[in-house]
Amino acid sequence: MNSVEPRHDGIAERLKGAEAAPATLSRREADLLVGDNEPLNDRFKSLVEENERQSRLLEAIFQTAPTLILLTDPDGRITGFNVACEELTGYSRDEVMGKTIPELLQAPGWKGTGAAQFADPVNSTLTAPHVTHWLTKAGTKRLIEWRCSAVDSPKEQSHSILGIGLDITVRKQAQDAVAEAQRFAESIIATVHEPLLVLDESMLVKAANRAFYQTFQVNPEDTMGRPFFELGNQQWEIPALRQLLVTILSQDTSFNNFEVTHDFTSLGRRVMVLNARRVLREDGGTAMILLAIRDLTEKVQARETLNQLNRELEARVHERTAELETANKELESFCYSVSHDLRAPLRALDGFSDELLRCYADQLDDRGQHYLRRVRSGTQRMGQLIDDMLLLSRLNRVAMKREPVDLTALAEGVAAELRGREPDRTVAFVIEAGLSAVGDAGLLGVALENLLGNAWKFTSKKPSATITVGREEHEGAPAFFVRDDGAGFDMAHLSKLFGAFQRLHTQREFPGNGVGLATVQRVIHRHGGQVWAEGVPGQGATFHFTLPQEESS
Amino acid sequence: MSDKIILLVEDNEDDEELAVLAFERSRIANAMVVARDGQEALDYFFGTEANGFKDAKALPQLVLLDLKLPKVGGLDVLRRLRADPRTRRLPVVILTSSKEEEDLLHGYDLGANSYIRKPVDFTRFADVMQHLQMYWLILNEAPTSGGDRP
Repeated sequence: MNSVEPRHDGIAERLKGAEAAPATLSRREADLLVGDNEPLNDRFKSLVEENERQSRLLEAIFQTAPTLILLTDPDGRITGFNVACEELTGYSRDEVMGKTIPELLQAPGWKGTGAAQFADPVNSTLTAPHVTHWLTKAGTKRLIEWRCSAVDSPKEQSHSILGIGLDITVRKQAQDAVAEAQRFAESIIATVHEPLLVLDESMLVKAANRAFYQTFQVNPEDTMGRPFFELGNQQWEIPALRQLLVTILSQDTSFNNFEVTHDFTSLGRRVMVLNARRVLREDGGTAMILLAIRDLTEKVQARETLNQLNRELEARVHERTAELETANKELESFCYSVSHDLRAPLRALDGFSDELLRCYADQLDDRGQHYLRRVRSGTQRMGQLIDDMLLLSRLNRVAMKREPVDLTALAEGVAAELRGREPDRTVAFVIEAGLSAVGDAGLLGVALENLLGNAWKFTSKKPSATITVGREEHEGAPAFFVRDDGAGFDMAHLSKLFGAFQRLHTQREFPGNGVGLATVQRVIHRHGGQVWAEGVPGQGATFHFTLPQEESS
Repeated sequence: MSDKIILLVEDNEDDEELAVLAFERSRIANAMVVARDGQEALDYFFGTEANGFKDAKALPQLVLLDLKLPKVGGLDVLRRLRADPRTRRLPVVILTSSKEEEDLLHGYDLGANSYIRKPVDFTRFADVMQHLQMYWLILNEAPTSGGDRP
């Protein structure tokens, strides 16, 4: 009966196959068949017209549908390929007709079941959706989701297949991206050292990371899906925390560094710091809370240990300060006693010796009088020693000012005083102009008195002398110096030079107590400066010292 | 001998004797009364139950006051003298071994007229005593009487 040539693009005809032959008769053939039986003829005509209308409708659907529509014959050869198919694959209908899907369209390496369904539809559940991977003419892969039906009569063993396909490439990519993002997020959460929890709106645990399980020594079974506030013997049931979490959900806020000190069932007393943030799902669905928990216990303990150490240190400093103050007071009262009590007997020694010399001289021979004079001179020297010792101790106790000091003016004052004391001596003072420092004018005056006084004293054996006061560079910093061309000293005795009551000369050579340079050293050290000396016997000595400069104040 | 009296408040016997010696060496010799501690000095002025306040004529012209004294210290004696209207203008010279700045300032704050440190050298000490007498008993115009004005 296959006498009628099917229209090349007649989908309806192809769907109906051989049994649809009457519907594919042309009008002329129908006229011939029906003849002039008028009623039958009319009915037949209307049937034919109806049939043609249906065919056109089907054809229109086939060609205009945005979905892929594909037909294969029982051998799996393509018999229908709509516009959507052409647009997707880049192949024209003529190129694919009579070919099978695997030989033309199937992407290489595709092992899915979809291709088999088109190639061997007999054994397939045709209505189940499945996915195939097509390769377009241009060589790109497209992922297509198919729903298929057999369109032949049920008694046939093999079927023509109608496949309706959707290009899900983009959707799949998006899904993959989402899945990838999720895996990425999960791997981050799993890797983070801090325990993390995800809670849903009902405060049920939706996710927890390994750090959480490890830190709180719980199993996923005890945790997942359980209410957060019931976890671990309700150890998180802290009203302020509950309030914060509820607020976060309702107001899209977050909180940072909520500190919790709690006796945890498994861990004991710990200090935890919690950070939380609301996370909205993209589908606009329920909100969730991401909760990060940090165990600060050790840090807090370290902090407390440090505080404790600081407190102890402070207490010790207080203690030591008090001890020092006591020691200082004792020293002061000692100095007071020294100044008062030691001098009184000296006065008696001196006074009565003097009285003896004065009123009883006629009863003493020269020798006796000489001894009495020696007693007086020893007494007076001891008085001077006591005074110098007190001065030295006071140097460390007096409060020190820090102000600009004109050293040139101070040195000139001292020089004038020395000249006034012994106007007959020939000593040239060369004092550099503009010498200045920061410090205590009174103390620096004492230092200069001693340095210049020494220079004056140790040049006394020379008919004329020069004393120089100036400034020079020493190791990149300015240093002052006092230089004389007097008796000098042997550098071998340098270590004794600045010691209190240490002398390099006898009283007969040069009188003195050995306190002067010790005094200078204390004054300079109290200013944070350094003092040192150079000397050559018979050629003179130079004393150097550094002081804070004005610009550094 | 002048009828002017010097009160020496001094606990050290040596110092007392030396002071007397020094005064003897000077040309002007005044009567010297010695109080050997702070309480004695106060008793001298303000009397005891048996012995009432000195009348104006018996008041010394000059007080030489040591600071470190048994019983009542020199500064306390000074404070009491300055607190009483009858003795508050009395010339008081602190004569001490102490050169402590604190004592010095305290002494002036309490109204000392002068502050002198006893030198160890007796020759100088004698000079000082002579100067003191010269200045305070001859050159200086003393406040008349004990000072009854308020």
